Amino acid sequence: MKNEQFASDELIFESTISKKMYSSLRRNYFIRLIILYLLPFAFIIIYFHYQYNDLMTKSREMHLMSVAENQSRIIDIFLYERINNILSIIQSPDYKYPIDKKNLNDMLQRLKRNSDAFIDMGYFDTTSIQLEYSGPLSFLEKKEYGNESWFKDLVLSSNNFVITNIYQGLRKTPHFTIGVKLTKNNKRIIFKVSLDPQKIYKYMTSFEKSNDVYILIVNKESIYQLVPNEISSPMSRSPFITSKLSGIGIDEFKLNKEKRTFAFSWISGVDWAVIVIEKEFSIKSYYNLKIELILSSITILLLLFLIIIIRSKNIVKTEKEKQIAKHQLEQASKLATVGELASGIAHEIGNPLNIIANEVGIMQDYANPKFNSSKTLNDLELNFKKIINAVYRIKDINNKLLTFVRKNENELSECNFNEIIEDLVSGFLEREMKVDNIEIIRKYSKNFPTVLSDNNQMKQVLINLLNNAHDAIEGSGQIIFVTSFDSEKIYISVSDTGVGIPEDKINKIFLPFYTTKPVGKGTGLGLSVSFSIIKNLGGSIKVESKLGKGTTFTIEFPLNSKI
Amino acid sequence: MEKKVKLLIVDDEIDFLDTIALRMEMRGFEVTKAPDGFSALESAEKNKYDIVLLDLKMPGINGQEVLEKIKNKNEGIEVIILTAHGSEEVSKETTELGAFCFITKPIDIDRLVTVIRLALESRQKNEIIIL
Repeated sequence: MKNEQFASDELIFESTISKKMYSSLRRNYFIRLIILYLLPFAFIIIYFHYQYNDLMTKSREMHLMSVAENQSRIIDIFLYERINNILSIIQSPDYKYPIDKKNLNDMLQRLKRNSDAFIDMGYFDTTSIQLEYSGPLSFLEKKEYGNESWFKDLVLSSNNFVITNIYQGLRKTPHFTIGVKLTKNNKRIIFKVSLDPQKIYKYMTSFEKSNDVYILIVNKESIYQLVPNEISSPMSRSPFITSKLSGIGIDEFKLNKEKRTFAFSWISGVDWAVIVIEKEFSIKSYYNLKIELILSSITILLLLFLIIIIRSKNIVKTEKEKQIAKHQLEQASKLATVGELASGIAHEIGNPLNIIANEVGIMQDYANPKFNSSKTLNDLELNFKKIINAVYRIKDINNKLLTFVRKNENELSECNFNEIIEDLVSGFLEREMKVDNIEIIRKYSKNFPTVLSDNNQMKQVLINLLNNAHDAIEGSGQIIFVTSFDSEKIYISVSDTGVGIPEDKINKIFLPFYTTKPVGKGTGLGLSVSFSIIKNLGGSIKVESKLGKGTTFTIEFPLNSKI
Repeated sequence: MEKKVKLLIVDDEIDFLDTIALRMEMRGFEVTKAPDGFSALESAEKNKYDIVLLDLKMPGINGQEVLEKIKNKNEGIEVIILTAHGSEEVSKETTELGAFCFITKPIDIDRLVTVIRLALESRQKNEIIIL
């Protein structure tokens, strides 16, 4: 029977809370989760993505610049050392001027010991004809250099040396020339030393450990001076135009219409700049990393999105289950309340049943010839009336009982709590209390305003409070109902002169299944369900208790309550 | 002519009290009605009853108390408990307090009369034993 009752209640419940309501609940929850979790997370991901990008770009630029700076120092030192090599050798006291071929060969040998970049060496006196030549290209001997720009520059320069840009010159192969002039025996003499670009490049790059960059050198006209074969050849025009003509920096150039970054560092002694660019694979690996990051971010966001969808579906499911459980709890509590009332009810039904049995019995007696009764049917009117009264008493109890078990949904109506209390208390409950020497005292407020509430549910609450008050009273005592109101609220209080609630237990009394009553007497549901009923109806309940003096429960409802 | 047996019936349910009293009178008992425990004790002090038919659940002084006091003050009185629901607990408690037995409501009148006869017989036997 009980199970059937619950099952049918659930069906009613399912149908009353419509699918529409659940879908709107799910939608609200979904939106809330998106706003609460997904959006902030997405913002964080995008923010960190940009931050990371920025950081990566800066660190890459720093890397390029540091390589460029190092390389420019190396070249600077290299050139400085080479000039010093040349100057110290040609000014060595070992050689007597004018020098001969043997001297020149010896000088070149000594230079080559300092650096393998030295190719050959030539000697000029006051004329522009190379008098002596030492090196592999013997056809250069006795050649006229007066038209070579470096030669003209050196003759006119106040400096005692020049370093050329890369050029082909008479030998038709790209090379650098260092020209040095000095005065010996009041005569101007010039030495010409040529340097191998490939050797210089090899020397320079041997100091750079990272293999993810290309290092090259351009002059002020953006002509390649030193450049790896994969990129271009020396003396061709480069796309690198630096924003400054000294110091170090970062700039952009176009490669196949794509913007790329390069670092530059100007070399102090010559008008060259070291240019550093990233190799293709390093750029690619950087882009791959970026794409991986974006993909994993998107994956995380998608996962989160999926979790949110599942969560919002589940929340509706648990909400449904919660509602059903709450509903079952309320139902169980109602039945429990009825159970707690059972002994009183049994007594109350028992009495009219006794009366009926007795009245019928006495009529049997009248009809029994043994007693020789002279009663006629007219004389029995009083007996019939007593029977009918007894039947109505049972019916009354029956009706009151049903109000506790029947209703599940809020049935709102304008309620006058004075009437509700009176209706509840008068009759069998009061008689039952009287049997236990408990006096019920009413202190009803006059002109008590009505509020929108649920008559039957509130009766259940009041019955619970009445039962608790009853159980709290040992021996004789009083239960006092007081109604009052102010401009905002109405107040209904139920006080007893019972044992009171200890301070350590008063916090727990509204918890489900918490009871201080002996096993079998209380379910611990009464107050918890009363609490939820009152809350559902927009009110509140509080408790005050003094040990040994009694307990007062006060229910409050706002006057213009909107539930 | 046999001397009438004196009954005191105590019950707060007046309608019940009236009819049961009438029915017992029809069966030849001399009946006094008491609607509560207090008037029952008062009445028992003034008169000598053979048998008390006593309801348990009453406002004011309840049945157990009435039983205890009547048994203390009135020697040789037998108390029959009329109760709505019989349980071992009630049976044990009331017999300990000296009740003869208990009968559940609604009352089977013939059974009640039989029990009264038994109670009277047992009282006479007890008196003999005591004497």
